[in-house]
Amino acid sequence: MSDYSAIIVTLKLALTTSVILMLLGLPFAWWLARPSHNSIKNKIRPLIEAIVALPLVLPPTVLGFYLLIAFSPDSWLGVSWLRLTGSTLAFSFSGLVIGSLIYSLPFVIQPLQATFAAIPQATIEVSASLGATKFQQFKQIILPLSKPGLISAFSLGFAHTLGEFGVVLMIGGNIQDETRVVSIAIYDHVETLQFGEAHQLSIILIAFSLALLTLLYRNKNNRVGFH
Amino acid sequence: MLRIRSESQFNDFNLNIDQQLPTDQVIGLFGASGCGKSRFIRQLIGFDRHYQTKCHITFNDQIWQDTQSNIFVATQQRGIGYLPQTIDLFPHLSTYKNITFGCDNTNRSIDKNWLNKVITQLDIADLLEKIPGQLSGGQQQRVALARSICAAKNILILDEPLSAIGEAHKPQVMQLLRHFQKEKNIPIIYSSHNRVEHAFLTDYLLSFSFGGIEQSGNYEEISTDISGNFSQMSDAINHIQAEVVEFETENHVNRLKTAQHQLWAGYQPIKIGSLVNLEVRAQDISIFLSEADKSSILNNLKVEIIDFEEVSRHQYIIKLSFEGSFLIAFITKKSFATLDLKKNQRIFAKFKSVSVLPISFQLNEATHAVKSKD
Repeated sequence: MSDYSAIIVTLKLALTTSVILMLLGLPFAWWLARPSHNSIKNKIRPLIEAIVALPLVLPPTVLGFYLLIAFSPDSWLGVSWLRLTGSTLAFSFSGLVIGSLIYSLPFVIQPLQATFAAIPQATIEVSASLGATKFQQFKQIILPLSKPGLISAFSLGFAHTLGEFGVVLMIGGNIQDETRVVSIAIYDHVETLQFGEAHQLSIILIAFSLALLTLLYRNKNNRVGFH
Repeated sequence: MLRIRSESQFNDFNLNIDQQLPTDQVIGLFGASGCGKSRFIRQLIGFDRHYQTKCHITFNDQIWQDTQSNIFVATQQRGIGYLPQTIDLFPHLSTYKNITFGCDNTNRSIDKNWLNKVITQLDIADLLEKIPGQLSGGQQQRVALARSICAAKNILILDEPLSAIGEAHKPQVMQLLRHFQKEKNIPIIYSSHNRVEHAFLTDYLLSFSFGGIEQSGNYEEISTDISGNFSQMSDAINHIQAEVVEFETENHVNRLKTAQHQLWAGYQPIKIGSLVNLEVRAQDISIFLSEADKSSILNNLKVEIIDFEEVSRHQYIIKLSFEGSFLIAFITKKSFATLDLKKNQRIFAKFKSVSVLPISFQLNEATHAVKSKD
């Protein structure tokens, strides 16, 4: 029964994280991707790109460690959250979501940025010259042309959050129905030598991830090409 | 009236424009690649604002842009139909959706009559369901041209519109553009480095050199102004208007007439009575002091020398008056000296039938007549 709950918590976490990342990531990645004549933007862009990429190279423990400090009731984030909601961030589902947002950030931002950068400036210009308003340019040109990239970004964000372990262990612990995700449950089963249960969850995770990635790559190969 | 005054600083050069252009004509932009034709066009559309230090554009009493009073009418509100040099069809939309894009977005009902005409004349009826990736380069350009024509409400702006289009399609595309301009009575900005296209389409010419617009004015004036750069280039073209009288079937050649001359050109029968602009390169016109008895050169014009100028160390350009209009001819400095040519001298200008450019006959006779009446 606890394994079933872990699957639910994992899916909930992955879905929440990837939806929030997509909403925040769309304007952010657009800002990063499009060429600019603003020299300040051009100067700070590499730094921002580096910050976005940091979770790719840092061990999850570094991230978890600082998040734990930020979540503590001594910090401004911890205090504000406590005042707002009456509960602490550490060892809560909300805390896990915040951790996952940072941990999966590059997996959403980078595909979005790549897909936006691939839309030729001239294509957008032509649509404007033919009478398309900013909203029509977005809806009729940018959105359809970046559809494969949007799907990639969402799937990668989702799949990567599914496989999260280190950060969860540091900031979430192992509370059933709250922070006990599949990867933690597997770890727990192995620790207590329940190899059967560990197998069961691992195979579910492998199958699900494989299916998701297969869909993702099929979508990539079908994309509309530029010429 | 289209008024444009702008100063821009690009990384590699500065472009200063100060022009008043007619809005009921085809405005041709001529010049080598990289001398500012596309930059000029982009100013009109409302692009490249960050390069501008000053810009003022008024289109028929409607201010599009004025940096001093901070007015900027957005590109999408200017009623433009634009064909960029890079074509840029929307890769995810069908050919048909590409063509109707302008009208779909501005909630204008599409002019069915013109849509059909454009589709037929540009020969794209079979391509409507395809997406751009399935089209050849020439097909893509024809579709993009259709897209810009259907979107044009106030002005049609074409940047090298025939560069990828095959020779076979060019005449009918050029006819279509002339016809469109006459019927809608909106300006067409037509950029090209092809003289034959300008000779047929352009009413008002802007001739670019590196750094800006060197000559501007009516096409006829500029093309026969022998002190200007436009006519001094070796590929300068004359046109001579003539009426088709008969097709000599035994020789397979058309006989044409002007006010005082008979001419022979074209090896396909043309409708009797139609007006044709015979396009002849200035370098294909030879000068004779007397009407030689017999030669293989069929066309023999009585002309008078108006003016001449040395264009290079070895070449002269000569301006000739012919039945009230002007012709230009290139001859070598050596011939000029041998013949001892003088102003107001009456001489003979000759050109071979085969040197009349085939495009003269491929273009619809009716559209020629329209242009000549202006």
